Amino acid sequence: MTRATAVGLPVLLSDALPRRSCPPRSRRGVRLTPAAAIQMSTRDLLVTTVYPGFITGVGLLAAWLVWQLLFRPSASIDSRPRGPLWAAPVVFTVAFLVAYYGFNPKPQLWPTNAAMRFHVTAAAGGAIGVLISLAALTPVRFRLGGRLFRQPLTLALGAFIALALLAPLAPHALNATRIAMVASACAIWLSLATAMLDATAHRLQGWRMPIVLVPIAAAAIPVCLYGGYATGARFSACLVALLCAALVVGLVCHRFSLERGGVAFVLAALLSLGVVAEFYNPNSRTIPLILLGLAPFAAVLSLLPSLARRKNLMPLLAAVVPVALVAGAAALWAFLGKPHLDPYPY
Amino acid sequence: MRTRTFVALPVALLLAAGALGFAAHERSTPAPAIESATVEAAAYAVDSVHSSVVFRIKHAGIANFYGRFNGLSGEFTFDPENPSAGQFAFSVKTQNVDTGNSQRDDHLRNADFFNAVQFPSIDFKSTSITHVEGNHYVLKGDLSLHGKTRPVEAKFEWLGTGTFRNRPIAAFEAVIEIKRSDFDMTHFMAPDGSDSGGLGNNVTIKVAVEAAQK
Repeated sequence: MTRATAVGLPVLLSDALPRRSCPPRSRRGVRLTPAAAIQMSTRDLLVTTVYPGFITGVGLLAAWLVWQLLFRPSASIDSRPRGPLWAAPVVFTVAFLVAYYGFNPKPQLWPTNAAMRFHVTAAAGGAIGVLISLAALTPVRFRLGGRLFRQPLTLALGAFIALALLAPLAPHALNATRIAMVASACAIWLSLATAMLDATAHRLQGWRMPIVLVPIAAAAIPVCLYGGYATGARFSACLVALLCAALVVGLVCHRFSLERGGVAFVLAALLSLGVVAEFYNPNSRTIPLILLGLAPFAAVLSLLPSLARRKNLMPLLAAVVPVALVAGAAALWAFLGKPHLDPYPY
Repeated sequence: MRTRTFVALPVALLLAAGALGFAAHERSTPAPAIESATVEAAAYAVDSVHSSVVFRIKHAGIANFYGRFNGLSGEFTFDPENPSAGQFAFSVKTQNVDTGNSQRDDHLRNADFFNAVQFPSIDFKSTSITHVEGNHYVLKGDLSLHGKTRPVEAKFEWLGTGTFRNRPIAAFEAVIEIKRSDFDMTHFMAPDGSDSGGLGNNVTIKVAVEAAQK
């Protein structure tokens, strides 16, 4: 039996606070590892991060090798999107679903509890990601229509995520008008953020693009955690694991790319977590979530022509540093705004 | 032609997404109420101030932890001479969970546990009550919790009637044993569904009611 560590996140938080006059307790006895702080047992840790990471690594590598063997891309098609772009959304979806089903002993296809519909939104994100990637790879390319094809799909995906997660709140918690407004905002955000990061991913091949995305997913962990939303922190950790595995694959396969599909999946998953964190968790703070939402757009610097043309690390740094700064600000804001703690942590 | 396709596709997808989302619109179960009062049996309204809902759950696989829900509401009709005619309907707000630690209470209210935003109340409505012996009965009914409605069985003890502030009152206690996994509340539960996880699966709910005659 795995040892459950259900002492809770406030224990970790409380150690960061100045001592107040409170009943005596053993400081040494309550110090926890980060995994324990989000109430993860060893099994949870394996299911949420290690297995999905492993599946992602093996899956992407296998897809890459098969694609190389079957298609042997030549220099003549160098301008075309590189590698099996469909592999990232497919493998990410499978790995995320493994984490989801490992986390839920009694999973349902369409849970009544809307806050646990991540598998549905992830599957939708994966499906849309595959559609986008196939459109990019098809011989009859949507040269003019590529953007017209991609943006409506990401718009629809954003709206679907918001509706799937929020519709059950009408009318007792949210009215239909507000849900429609939120769905519209989510649709626009997902479409714009995907377009922004897709353009970045086009320039940052291999291991570089996962490095841009990791800070956003990693910052989502404290944002959820300090908002009292342990499940969100776990799934954010899962996303970090997926991206780290993609990074390792990118070290081997230099032309591996997350554009047109991989990016869409990651952003869709982050959007799902953000929506649930904001609307289902009274202690979640809005500003860190907004900062997290702005983080993908900080990569715009890397698209500046003077930087984008360079062959050195400048384009990467121009993407990573601003993104990490904004995401870090979100994490810091969440930390500084953590809720008041009771004298006795639970 | 292509432009039309590009316009039609997102519109269709948006409409489909909207329809799917709103088709899944699940309103919370309204607070149960007794449909028709029994002619002979007295009808009572729950005195929220003098009634308690206490729950017990295993923590860390070893300890018994107790919490409560404040503000029980509801009504019932009951005649010990004719128990089968009795009807019970109770409701408590999930927002009112109280474990003596405000941060834990907030955590219990959020999406990890009760999801109080989507499921604002816990409701019980009886389906039958049968006499066992003395003042003990078996109360059967439907418990709605976390968006799931499941039949449950309670050990029911009728404590009798009396007077308080010149009003006739009645009191009883009921104990319900449930598995929280039956209501899709599986967070921090052992994968095997036992009580050995961070939080147990079996939950004992004790309801102690004082009610004033209507």
